Amino acid sequence: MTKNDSLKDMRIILYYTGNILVGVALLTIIPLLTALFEHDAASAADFSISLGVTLTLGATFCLLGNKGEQAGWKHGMVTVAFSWLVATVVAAIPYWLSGHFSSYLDCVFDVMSGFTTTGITLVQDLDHVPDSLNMWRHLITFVGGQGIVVLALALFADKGGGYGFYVGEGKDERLFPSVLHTAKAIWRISLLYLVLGTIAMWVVCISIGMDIGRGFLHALWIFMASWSTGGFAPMSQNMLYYHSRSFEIVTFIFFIVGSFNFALHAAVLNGDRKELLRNLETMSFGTTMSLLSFFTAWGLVKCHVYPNLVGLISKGFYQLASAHTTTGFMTIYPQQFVNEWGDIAILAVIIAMMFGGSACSTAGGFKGLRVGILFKALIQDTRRLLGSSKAIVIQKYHYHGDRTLGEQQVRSAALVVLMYMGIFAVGTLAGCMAGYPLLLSAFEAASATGNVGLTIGVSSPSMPAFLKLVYIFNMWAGRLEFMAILASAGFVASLFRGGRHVHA
Amino acid sequence: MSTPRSWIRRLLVTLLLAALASGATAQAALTEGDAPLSVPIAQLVTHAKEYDGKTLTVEGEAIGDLMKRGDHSWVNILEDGVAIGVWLTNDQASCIHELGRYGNSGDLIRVTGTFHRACPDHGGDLDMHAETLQILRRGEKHNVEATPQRLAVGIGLCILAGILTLIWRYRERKTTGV
Repeated sequence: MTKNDSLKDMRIILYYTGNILVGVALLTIIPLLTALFEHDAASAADFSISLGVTLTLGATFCLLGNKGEQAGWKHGMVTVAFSWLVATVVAAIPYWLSGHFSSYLDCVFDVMSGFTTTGITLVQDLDHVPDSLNMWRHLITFVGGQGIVVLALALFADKGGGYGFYVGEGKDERLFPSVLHTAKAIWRISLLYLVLGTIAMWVVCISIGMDIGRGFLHALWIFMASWSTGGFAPMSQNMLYYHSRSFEIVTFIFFIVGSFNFALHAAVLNGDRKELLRNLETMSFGTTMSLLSFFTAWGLVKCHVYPNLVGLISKGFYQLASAHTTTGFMTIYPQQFVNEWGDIAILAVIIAMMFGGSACSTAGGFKGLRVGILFKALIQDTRRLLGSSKAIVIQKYHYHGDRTLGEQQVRSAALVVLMYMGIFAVGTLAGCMAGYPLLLSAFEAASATGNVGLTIGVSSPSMPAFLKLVYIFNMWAGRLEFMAILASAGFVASLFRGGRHVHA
Repeated sequence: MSTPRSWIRRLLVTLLLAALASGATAQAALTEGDAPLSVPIAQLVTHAKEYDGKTLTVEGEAIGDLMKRGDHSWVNILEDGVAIGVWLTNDQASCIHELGRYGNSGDLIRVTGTFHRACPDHGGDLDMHAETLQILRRGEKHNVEATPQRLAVGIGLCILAGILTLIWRYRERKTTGV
């Protein structure tokens, strides 16, 4: 690669990163309007600073950058990785100005947690934060679920291409041949659910005794956090604040639905309901959820944690489903995991967090598709071993049509799972190095890596800065599913190689 | 001169007074000894098994919402960053006037009641069922004012951003012709 090529590439990346920042800047108008509507001048000033900085940076990047002929795969991948980092740093400005965080690193941690739909929070005195800040927190998680680049594609893309951007953000399922149409379809589906879901949640909020105004805001925020499998909540007790089984049931439905593949939503909305039952991913999710529910119930009953079946379901099953869909909503205190749940139930939750939800959804983790593919590969290899040496064993599966399992799919799935396990191990090791016991370190690392948000009490403003940085990296890498990060590392390496080549 | 009968009467009265006095003292000691334990909310949550089913006293700021459910209500109280749900009658709930939110500190309340690690009546919630409620201090509104410097910086940055965006869009139109 020559120096000119590198410069050309960097200008293209800068241009598209600028576009994404302009998109993020436009989003800050919503909390700004919330603050103005509530006559909260202090928060309005904070959000106008954030809007100004983000838009200035975005427009400057666009002016310095170059659109180029057509952004290639490489540009898309590097832009995604780079823009997620820059967007996270600038989106943290209102957090910092609010005075509810002990350091800027904590603000960055929280924004990364939001964009990646993780939901672990380091905010202090959450019960007294302004509505505009809560709006921003939940908006970040809602947009992060669909993908900030998918949003930018839907807003600004004016021609074909862009597949590299789309895949870089951890989505590879095209609902339409064009990526632009796919991005717009994802947003149409999400906005449709946003309207219906907020109305449903609002009814529940009023029925459990909240007033109309606050009920609406809580309904909107909780829906955003459920659908995007984010896990943020406007109150420090998370879902326990509401003390309501109906609230738990409705959020349960939304986060289960939110963890499904967008292609599955499109199929069901187009009348193909059979796909729901035949799809490898839903079958994989159903199987692992059932098995892990059994072990969780076993562990909780063994330790006599809950006095009746309602308690077992409301606490045990809800926490497990929240973990498996990588939502992170909690109806118990973190200390209760440690002091009451016992090792079997905690281990089941850790496994659920690692498995995660569906590919091309708002969920994190390995994804049900990869778990299903590896399981099918295991069956195929077992059949090969047991059958005749000359027999050709073909393994089929259903995933938006009947497909034959290929070596490449198995290899890709295995590599991603391996990389997840790698950063999970790093996160666990970092937790142990910070002085936390192994089980607690593993739980928190699984939560950060799988973009879940359940916490066992490790994540707090007082945890060491290096552990915060490790979790930030795990959330980022886990959400982007490594490809964009590996491509960026390769790109940076090529810049150095190119530089050496030119000087030589 | 006192007769044996009056002596007996005096003795009986003295004994009666002594018995009453000792009874009252014993009663006072009993009340003091059986007074519900006052426990910080954070400690209650961390050591929930230890306190399960006991009558305790907690103190904290009433936050968020009073959520009415039939003849009872839920209110959450916050102390040192940890909140707990309190199940109380609507009459008790009506004593709470201010709830802690942004720009508002809630009433500081003292609740005596039964603590549940996993309440059988409320789906396994960790909660308190209030028997008595006392308002220790009324909450109040706080004015959160914007500093003029922040407002000026915000407006200035938005103007700069607007100019740069216009230049970018102008250049874009010129290049692409759209």
